[in-house]
Amino acid sequence: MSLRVFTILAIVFGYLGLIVAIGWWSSRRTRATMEDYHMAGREFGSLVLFASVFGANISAVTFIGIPGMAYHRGWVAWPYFVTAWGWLTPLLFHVVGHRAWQLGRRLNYMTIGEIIGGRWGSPYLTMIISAIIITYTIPYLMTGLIGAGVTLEVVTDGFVPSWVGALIVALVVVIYLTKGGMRASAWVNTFQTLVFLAGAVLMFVAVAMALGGPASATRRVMELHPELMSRGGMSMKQFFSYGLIVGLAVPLFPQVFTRLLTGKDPASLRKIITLYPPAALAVFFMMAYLGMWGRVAIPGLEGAQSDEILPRLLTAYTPFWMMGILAASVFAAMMSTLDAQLLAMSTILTREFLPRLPFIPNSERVQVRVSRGLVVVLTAVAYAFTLINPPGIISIVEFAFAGFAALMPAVLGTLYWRRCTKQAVAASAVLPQLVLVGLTFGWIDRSWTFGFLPGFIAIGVAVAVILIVTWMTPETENTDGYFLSPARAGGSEAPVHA
Amino acid sequence: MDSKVAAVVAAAAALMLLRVDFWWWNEVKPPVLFEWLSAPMLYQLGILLCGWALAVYAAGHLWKDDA
Repeated sequence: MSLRVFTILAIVFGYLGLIVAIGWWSSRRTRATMEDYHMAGREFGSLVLFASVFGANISAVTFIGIPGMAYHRGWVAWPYFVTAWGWLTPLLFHVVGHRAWQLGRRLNYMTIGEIIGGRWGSPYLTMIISAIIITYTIPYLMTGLIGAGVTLEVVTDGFVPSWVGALIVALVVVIYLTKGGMRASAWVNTFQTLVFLAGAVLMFVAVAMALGGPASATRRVMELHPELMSRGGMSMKQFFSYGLIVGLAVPLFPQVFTRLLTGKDPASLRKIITLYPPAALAVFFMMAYLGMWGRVAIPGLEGAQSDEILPRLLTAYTPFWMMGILAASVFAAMMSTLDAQLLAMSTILTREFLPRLPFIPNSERVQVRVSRGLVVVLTAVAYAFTLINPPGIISIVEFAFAGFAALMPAVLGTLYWRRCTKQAVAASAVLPQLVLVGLTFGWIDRSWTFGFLPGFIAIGVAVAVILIVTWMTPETENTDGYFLSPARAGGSEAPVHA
Repeated sequence: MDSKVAAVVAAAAALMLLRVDFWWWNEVKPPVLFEWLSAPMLYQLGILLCGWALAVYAAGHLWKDDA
């Protein structure tokens, strides 16, 4: 092992040790109750809430997928995500997150499935929604492990193979998550968010300076690869539809949604809406330009190989001690999403599926123990999938994002439309997923997308289905306390029955 | 629907449509700022800023702590 590789590994392992220590320290107050393990007592102020939600959102897609995409398609990689998601998602934190926060407080809900099924007291509806969410979270979960493996392999010149890198990250996450649940995850994510934000700035400045500055690097791109400046590699319909998909999808990521419910008051949630857009822009903007400049700095990467462009740039243009720090910040972005996804899936399974098994005792202490065991099992499953060597990261999540986005009409119908029925919500959740899968895998002729992404068509189908089926089905009674009367503003809490 | 809510929904829909700057699509535009940022890049930044203002407005003026 060279001194360079040894130094990088020492920094990365030092960072991972620090993460475990923060997780361990913050878990001292974690009690063996479901509310505390999964929601940390809903006590977070605005800073921890923002860092926790943003950290859960920013993932391998940002630090590996965006530079990889910009390498082939140019600067369009940042507006592709940010100029819709960067503001539409915070707007939906207001529309969906705020209402869900109120319901979570009042009726002890923790998941999207509970908030939807809970309106009509339907455990089956809850399970349908949760099954869809779990199905789409697993491929997204894999991206963190794949990204961690790729990063460590490249920055150590192949000394640490990607399967070992992914395994190391998986073990670190399992250690602090099983110990401290949501509280450990949120505090670790607060630290990790600060690390990856600072790391992104440092990476951008270091690489840009090494390439002669942003103006010089961009000039070379215009000379050698003008197509990267024109957005010609992407159709306008794709650009439009993906903006809508990613903007609608993110608030429904279970790892993001559950965290929105952990704020101590509405003011905390309101502040994160203000902080989100500039933070989102900063990270995506810098990652996209690094990827685009990488095309001239390190040419010749084909297909999913471009997912390696960021670690390759760091290897080529930064001193190795800095590379260790920067690799740790890439890890920070990936782990902060990975742990949040694992915990959210554990919450869903423990709350909604396991109580139906006759051999699980109805004791909170046992349920928390089962939750911890599920974190281990889910990590093992995700790790096993990463060994299959799937295609590029963006391709994986594009499919998953569309699946989440198609659930938004069902969520909005449940939260705001009093006439809406559970049959309509069930149909609006399931049928668009079939359309999405059919269009994506070619079982339905692709000409039916009319040039848009399949997810856009699925969202349209979801809207149509919820309107038509609500019109066709009779009104049903809502759970007590789901809707409050206008008198609530005057201090009374009279529930309204639809 | 409350008129302020309707205005925010309409503004959000308009921003999503305006985000697709079809008049510049497929064109290589020279940088106009810092010898680096082109007009389409600055336009996309403008879209994000407008969206940010919309989200901040919604959080500040449409927020009701009762539902």
